[in-house]
Amino acid sequence: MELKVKQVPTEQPEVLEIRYHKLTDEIEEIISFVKSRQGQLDARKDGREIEIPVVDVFYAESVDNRVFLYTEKDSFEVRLKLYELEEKLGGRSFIRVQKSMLLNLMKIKSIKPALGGRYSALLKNGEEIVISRKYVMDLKNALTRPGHGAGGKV
Amino acid sequence: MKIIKERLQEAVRLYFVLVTLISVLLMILGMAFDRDRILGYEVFLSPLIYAAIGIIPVFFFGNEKEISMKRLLIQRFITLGFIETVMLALAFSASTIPTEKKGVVIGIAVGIVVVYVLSLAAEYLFELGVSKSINKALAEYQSENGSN
Repeated sequence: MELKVKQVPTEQPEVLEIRYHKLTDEIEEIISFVKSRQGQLDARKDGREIEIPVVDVFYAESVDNRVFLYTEKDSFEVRLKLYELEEKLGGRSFIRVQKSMLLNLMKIKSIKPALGGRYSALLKNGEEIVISRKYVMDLKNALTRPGHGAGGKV
Repeated sequence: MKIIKERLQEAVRLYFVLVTLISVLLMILGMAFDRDRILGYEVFLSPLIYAAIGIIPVFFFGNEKEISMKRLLIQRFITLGFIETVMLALAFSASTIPTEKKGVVIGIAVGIVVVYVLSLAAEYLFELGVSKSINKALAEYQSENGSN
């Protein structure tokens, strides 16, 4: 596999692109390593401890005092309160969209109105999340803030 | 403070939509049921007063709670019921409105529903514009941060 490393101007995003013919174990290992370098969260699923790359998290939700992370097709429990998770993910692309939910801005496909000042976010996995009226202004601010303060790379 | 500001913005937006729609409704109802009546200049105040009544629910049905779609729809029906009741009460107490004619009462009742639905449509169009600007900002955000 050929390796290319190229410096880009600061106004351009840093991109690590992997081009492959077949998704082999070796390539998956590289992807997993890159994701782990961008942060991981300790989670649980069926009694097993798992590390979830932050970039894979679509949203986090607090249900009956338990906090769950939702990835493209799966869900995991974390041993953190939602506000603790929010602090941990501070400076990344996560924003509160409901009292009990944090949403990854990088996983939103599009947004549409949902009556009463609320909006509905269609995620890249097809799920729809309601953005409560109270948090719409925060979303707008996060997206339009110079330097995009809510974000940074995830 | 942020909620009060948002609520006021919404009320002002709705107020002007309602003034326009109520003026049209009064013209249609007047032409249909009371074409020959001559009115004074004070009649221009009517849409302003009716619209002011129409925005009252904005301040009472706070949406700061995260309500479900079902509850939101129930809230909208209650709002419509409130506006219908107040407007019909006003119509029956006003000497200038010929409420003895069945057609006038039905016209007012149906007209209020039409105005309410049109005001919701105007609200939806406004929010559609907002969502377009959010989508544009979102695309830029994801592009700058490397979409994944």
